[in-house]
Order: sequence, then structure tokens, then C-alpha cells
Amino acid sequence: MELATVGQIGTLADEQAALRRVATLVARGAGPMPVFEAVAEEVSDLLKADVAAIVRFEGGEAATMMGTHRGRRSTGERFELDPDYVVASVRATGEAARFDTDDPAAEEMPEPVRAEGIRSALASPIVVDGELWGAITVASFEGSFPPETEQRLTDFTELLAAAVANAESRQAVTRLAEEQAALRRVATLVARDAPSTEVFDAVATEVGKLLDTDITIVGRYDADGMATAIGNWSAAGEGVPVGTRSAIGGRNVLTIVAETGKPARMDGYDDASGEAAEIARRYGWRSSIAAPILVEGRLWGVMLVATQRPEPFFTGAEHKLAAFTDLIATAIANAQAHDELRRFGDEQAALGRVARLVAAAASPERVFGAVVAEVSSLLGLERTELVRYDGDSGTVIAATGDHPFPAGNSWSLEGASVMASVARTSRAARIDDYSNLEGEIARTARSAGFQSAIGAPITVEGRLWGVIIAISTDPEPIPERSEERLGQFTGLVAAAIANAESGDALARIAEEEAALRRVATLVAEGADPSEIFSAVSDEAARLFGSGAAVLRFEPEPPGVVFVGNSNSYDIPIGTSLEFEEGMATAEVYRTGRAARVDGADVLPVGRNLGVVSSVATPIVVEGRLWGAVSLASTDESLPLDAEERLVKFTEFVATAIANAEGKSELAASRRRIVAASDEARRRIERDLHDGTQQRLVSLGLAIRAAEANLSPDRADVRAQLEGVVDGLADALEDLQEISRGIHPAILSRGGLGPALQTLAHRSTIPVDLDVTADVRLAEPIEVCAYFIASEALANAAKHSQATRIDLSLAQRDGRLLVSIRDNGIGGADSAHGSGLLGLSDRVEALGGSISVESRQGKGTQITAELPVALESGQPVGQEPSVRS
Amino acid sequence: MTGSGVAEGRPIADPSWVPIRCLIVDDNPFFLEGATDLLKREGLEVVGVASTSADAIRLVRELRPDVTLVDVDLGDEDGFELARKLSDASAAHSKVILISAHAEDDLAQLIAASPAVGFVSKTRVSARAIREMLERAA
Repeated sequence: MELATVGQIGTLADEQAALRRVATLVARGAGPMPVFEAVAEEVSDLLKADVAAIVRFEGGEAATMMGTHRGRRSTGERFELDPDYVVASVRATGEAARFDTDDPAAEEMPEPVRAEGIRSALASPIVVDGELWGAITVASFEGSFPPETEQRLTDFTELLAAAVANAESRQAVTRLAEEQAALRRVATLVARDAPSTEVFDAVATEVGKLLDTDITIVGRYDADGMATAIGNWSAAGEGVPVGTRSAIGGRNVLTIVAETGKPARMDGYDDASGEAAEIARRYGWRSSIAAPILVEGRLWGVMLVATQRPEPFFTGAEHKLAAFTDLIATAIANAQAHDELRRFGDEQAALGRVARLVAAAASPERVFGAVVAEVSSLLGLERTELVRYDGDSGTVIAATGDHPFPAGNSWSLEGASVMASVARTSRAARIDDYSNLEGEIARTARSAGFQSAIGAPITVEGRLWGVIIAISTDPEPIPERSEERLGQFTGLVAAAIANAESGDALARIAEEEAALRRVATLVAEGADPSEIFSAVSDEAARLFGSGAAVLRFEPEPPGVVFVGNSNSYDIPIGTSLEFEEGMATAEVYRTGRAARVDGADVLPVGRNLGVVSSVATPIVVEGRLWGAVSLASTDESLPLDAEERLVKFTEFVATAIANAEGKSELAASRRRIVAASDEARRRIERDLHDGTQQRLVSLGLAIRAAEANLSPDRADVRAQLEGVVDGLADALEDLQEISRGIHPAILSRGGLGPALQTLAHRSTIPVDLDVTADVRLAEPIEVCAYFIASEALANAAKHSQATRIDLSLAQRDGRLLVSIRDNGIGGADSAHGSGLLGLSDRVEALGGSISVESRQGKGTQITAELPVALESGQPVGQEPSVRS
Repeated sequence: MTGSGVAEGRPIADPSWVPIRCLIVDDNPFFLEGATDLLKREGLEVVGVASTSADAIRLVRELRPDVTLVDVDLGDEDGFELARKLSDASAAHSKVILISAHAEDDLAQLIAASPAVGFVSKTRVSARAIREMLERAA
């Protein structure tokens, strides 16, 4: 049956009225819903439709019922478009579509349509701002719609489009306003320098409300392939807690954003996979959208919104989200910048504190302790270590926090560890997972719950000295670039060590100077070479912290004799050793230069004593290689400059030896002079005796013979002759007297005993003689002792006015003691004792001493001490060798 | 040296006079000559002279003098040593007198320790001095 042709004008009027009513609604700014409902009703009335509906197209085949009249779906319901129905056709083509059938049972009719009994259906597109927004559809259970129905619908669709556009633009404005307000709120937080977590939570909340989601999460991508929730909001109050971590991987929005750096959406988790999907399912998410947070061009994290409702998010929601994430990125960048600034400030303050310690030349130990404390505090990591490398192990020197690597222990550098890694590469290192690592350190770290650790190398004057290590037991790895922050401190540590080492060096130089001075003093004082050898050994041992010895070279068989030893050497002075390969001294003997023997090359006998390093330097006396000074260390290698530093000591030894040899030469030559002079005097005396004295005797005899031939009457001649004989006798006596002063005959014949007796006998002052020495001694000694006594007695006779003299001769401890004491007036001075002065030279030349004590009124005491045997003139330092 | 003026020794008219037989040991030939001459004049019989210990010992054994004058200095040899040897020898009847150009004082201790009967300075050598010393020692 044809409709409308009869009352077309009436229909037009109705239409206009209907349009006006709707337009009024639109103009009054009614929200879309009431407009849709009104339109549905008007259209239905106007077109005599049984059902009218306005649907909004969603993503895919989905649509939302926006307003219906007598339709079976309710407003707001979301459903899938039937692909055979007219509405789907509109969606697909963007053009009106119609469906007619005269026979409700015709097979072409889609099932739901037939089920409802619809005979005719029409749908027209609603285009808003050039985009297909949805459709309006009418259906009739009886007959078809007249052909111009599409046209009449169009007017309404235009109104609807306007209404929607209005509404949407109002919505857009509202939403924009809301967005702006939300952004402003977040921006305020950022400007207020609120801590990041507050900002993240605020953002999550705003986004959640704005996008009408159930859950919002702000997540950060970490260096270990995992993401951490750092801010969240949940409509129902129970969302994914901050700190939750998920591995990136599988099919889920978290991973898609991580891998593509672009927004992603997932409607439905049926075929989602991965840890993130598990979490989503656990919390009942049905669909989610995620947008990347890019900070300074880098993918920093992700903002994720999810809903538990069945309807997916509106189209373009992920892009809305993306716009919002920019703000977060700024906030994060700001916050990071603020954090950076704060951290920078903290770092500078910490560095400043440590630098002040270093500048004040605090001990390295103090600096180490300060550094680990500051690092621990700055990085927020309780456990730190400062390790020094010792060959193939590392020793912990300072540490903070409770962990199994406290100060004092050493660890092997084998296996996997930050300590080992830095030792190998001399660069910063990091470990983020101890699970599969081998080695003692890794095992210990695992059982102590270490999750990650970083280390920065400490380099002192170009060599790798050690490492600072910071350890975390949190699941999150230590933030990136923490190694750099650690590195700032290593320079200070290195400076402290270098300071201390140079301070040490200075102290060492001062010590050395003092030691050299002590030895120099001994040499200047003319101390015995053996004393100097001993002093040099002790000083060198103290300076180098090792054993030290002075050795003389022996040519046959080639070897050394110990002439000076520090206490740590348990070898007696005089021990001799033959040269063997591996002795540093053998090398010196061979090359005439300093030599060093370390480690495995040390002789077994040395190794048994624990010697790990030995150094020897040559002693050269007046151009000839005399011996060596040697050092032997049992704890560690002798420093590389040991040879150089020893040189000064060996020079002193050489000087001392040269001095002593010179002195002994000098003494020997003095002795020789004395002996020669004694010999000369004896010869003179002998010549006098054998020559002149005998001649006088013979003359006397001849005259007496002549006398005997005289006739008795020549008494005058006889008297003359007797006068001559007397004169000759006197002359002889004079000669005897002279002879006594030169060399008393009895001394050679009988020794000191009889000679002193003769002196005593002849003395004008009574002499009490006490002679207990009765062995013959070397001529110079006997002569010297005799003349001392003789001179003393002569002086006493001349000046002392004494009544008694005590003369004693004794032998004690290898010395001959001569003592002459008188009870006279004393006061003898050197003028009177000039004879004694001459004698004192002689006494000293023989290696003895003489002293005169003569106080006014207290008599005079002369004491002389002579060696019992003359020095044999052996070379210096010639202790008798003891074969070892 | 004391000159005596009158040659002592052999009294002109006493047939029982027995001269003292004397050996002189000295390394100085002038002394030997001079002393021998003097003592002979003075009535001593100088039976021989010697300059070395070896000769002295031999001559003493052979000639058996009554007295041997021994110079303390016999070149390299020691007169005291010879005096001891001569005294040790079985010729106990032969006395030794030490002589020397040294003063007696200078040799006092050694002389005292010696088995010789005494010491006469060479300047005082005379028959009378020798005779007196021997009589004292007898």
C-alpha cells in the first residue's frame, strides 16, 4: 500500500514540524542522547516505521545504540553489526541502503531480520565533519517504505550530524577543558618540584579519569629487559601496585610499545601472551591501550590504561593517550633534571668533603673510609667495597654495610665478579645477574642475595691500583650511569694514594738521610770498620724492612765472607760462603755491577729461609772490587729502586774501608819508623861498643903495658901514664853513659825485667820495683817501655824532690802496663816532660797510650799502656774466615 | 884500669910460685893481644885465646885453664850463655870471670844471675884483680 501520496502536503508539514522540534532540541544544546531519542521517535512517527534507531559506529563491526524507538536494543548498548543488514551496508559503503522483501520467508533475508518480522529496512549514513559517524535506520513490519524515504531521512541525518557535531564539539571543548585542567594540575606538581612518584600517580589519576578507564599505570623500561610500575591509579582502588615488575616479551601492549616505540592497543586478551598478559588477566583486564613516554628522544617508559569492561576504548583513544604522555615526558625530564641537579649538588658536596680530606693529607685509610660512606649514601646503596689489587687477588680495604666482603679479606680474581672484570679490563664494569656466574665471589654474592653490582677502577699514576664497588640487593638493577658517578670518586682516591705514596716517599727520603748521617758520623769519627759494617747492615735492614749484610769477596775459592750483619740474618760474622748461581753477590762479583735475584731464581737455601727477593751492590775501594752490600727480603719484592738507594750506603762502606786501610797503612808505617829507629840506635850502640869503646880499652891496655916496661925510677912518667889511663877510663865511662841513653845493652840481652832492675838500681831516688811480666816482647815494645821508665825516673830525679818512686810493670788482657809514681811535689808540666812528649808519639805509633797526672803537691803518676804484640799489618776487615 | 907500677906476679926469688893459667875469650883481636901482653907481664900464664864459643869450649876442655875470661859480647853470641855452658861442663874447677867494656852496673842483674865468679871491667883487667877474685871465690 502506498503511503504518503494522499496527504503529501500534510506529510511535509509534519516533517517540518518534526524537524523543528529536533532542531529546537539541538539549538537548546541538548545532549546527544535526548536528540537521538527524539529523532528516533519523530522519524518513526513520520515514516510510519515500526522501528527506528540511530547507531554510532565503533571500531571494527561494533556499533553503539545511541537512540531507538521500539527497537529491541537499549540505548547505550554495544553490539556487532549484522553484516547482511542495511546498517552494515551503510558502514561499508558510506551510502544509504535499503532492504525490501515481499515475502518474509524469502531466503535472502538475514535471520535476525526475519526473526523480527521486518519487511523493509532503510539505513542512511550520518556524516559528522566529513567522517562517517554512524547511521540512522528504520524498519517496517509491513510493506515497503516509499522510495523518497531515503531523501526524507537525509534531512534528519543532517540535523543529527549537526547535533552530534555540536555535542561533540561541546564534548570536545569540555574534554579539552578537562584535559587542560588535568594538564595544569600535573604541571603544577612538576613546577612545585614534587617528587616523581607524586607526579606519576597524579598523571595516572588524571588520565584514568579523563579517558574513563578502570586502571592506569605509568611504567618505566629498565635496562634488564623488564619494566617497573612507577605510578598507578585505579577506579576501583585496587590496581597493579607500584614496584610491580614484568618482563618485556610476548604479545601484549607493554611489549609492542617497547619494541616499536609507538602507541598500541589490545582489545581482548584471548591471544595475548607474556608476563604482562598474565598480569593483565590476573587483574581482569579486557582491553588496554599503551603509549610510549619519550624523554629526550629515548624510550623511557610507557603509559598504559586498561579497562575491565567489555567495551573496548573509543577509536583514537591511544592517540589521546599519546598526547598526554608528552606531558609526562616533560615532567619526567624536568624531574630528572631536578633529580640530576639535586644529585649533582649532593655529589659535589660529597666530592668536596672527600677532596678536603685529601688536601689535608689525611691518611689513605681515612680517605677510603670517607669515600665508601659517601658513595653508599649518594647511590643509596648500603653495601660498598673499596678493593686494592695485590697481584692476582684483591684485598678489601674499606667497606660499608653488612655483606660477606668486609675489610681485611682477600679474594681470588678468578671467576666472574666485578672485581675481576675491572682488574682484567681496567674499565668500569657491572653485573646485573649473578645467577649463572662461576667463581667464589659469584657464589658468595648469590648467597648473600646480591642482585647487581657496579665497579669503577682506581688508577694511580697510570697503574691500576684497585676498584670501588657498589652492590644492590633490590630486584631493580642499579640505575644506568651510576658507574660514572662512582668514577668521580676514584680520582680522589687515587690522589690520596698518590699523596700518601709521595708522603711516604718523602718520609722515606728523610729516614734515609738520617740513616746515612748516622753512618757518616761513624766514618768521620774513625770508627772501626767492623762497627761501620754492622751499622750499615742495621740501617739498611731498617730502611728496607729486610735482612741486610756487608760481605767481603774472597778470590780463592771464589766466595764471600760476612763482615757485617743485621739481626734478622742468623749468620755469624766471619762465615764464608762459596759463590753459587743464583746468589746476587755472585752476580756482583762477576759483573762488578748491582744485581738482583727475585722469586724462583733465589737459591734453594735462600728460599728455605723464606727469601723472595735479594739485591746486592758492589763495594769498590780505590778502584778495586772489595765486596758487596746485600739485602734479602722475606715478605715482598724489594722496591725497584733498592739498588740505587743502596749505592749511598755502599759508598760509605768503601770510604770507611779506605780510611781504615789508610789508617792501618799509616800506623804500619809509623811502626816501621819506630822499629827502624830502634834498630838504628841499637846499631849505634853496638858500633860504639865494638868500635870506640874497645879502642879505648885497648889503648888503656897498651899504656899499662908500656907502664910495666918503665924502669922504677921513671915515676914521673908512670904518673903521667896513669893519668892517661884514668882519662881513658873516664872517656869510656862517658861513652857508656851515652850508650845507655841510646840503647841499653842489657835490654837486648835480658829483657825488661833486668833492664828495669838496672834502672832502679841506678836511680838516685829509691825505687820500689814490681815486675810481674817476664816474657820477652817485641823489641820496639820493650824499648818503648824501658825508655818510658827511664825518662820518668830521670824527670823525677831532676824535679820531683821525691823520696820514693813506685815502678811497676804488669801484663793484663793483652796489654803491657807500665806505671811510675813518685811522692814528690808534682806540678809536672809538658815543658818538663818534653822527653815524655817525644815518647808519646812512639807510644801511639805502637798502638798504645800514655798519660801523665801531676797535681801540685800530689806527686806525679805516669801510666803507659802498650799492646803486648805488634799488629801484624793484616788487611782491614780481615777477620779469620770460618768455613761454613 | 889501675896501673900497679910494679909488675906483680912472679916473685923473683920464689921457686914455688905457680902462675895462674888463664884463657881469654873475646871477639876483639886487639883486646886479646893487649890483654895477653899485659897479663903475661903481670905474671899470669895466658894458655890460650878464643873468639867463639865453640873454640872456647874446646880449649877449656883441652887446656884446662884455672880461669877463663869471657867477654859478655862475643859478636852474635852471648858471653853469659858461654859462661853458663862452661860452668855446666864438668870442668868445674875452671872458673869464669865475665869481662866487658860495659859498666858493671849496667849488667848487674845478669851478672848476679850468672854462674861466673865475678865481673871485671876491661879497663880494670889485671893479674891482681883476677887473683883476688879467684881467692874470694875459692
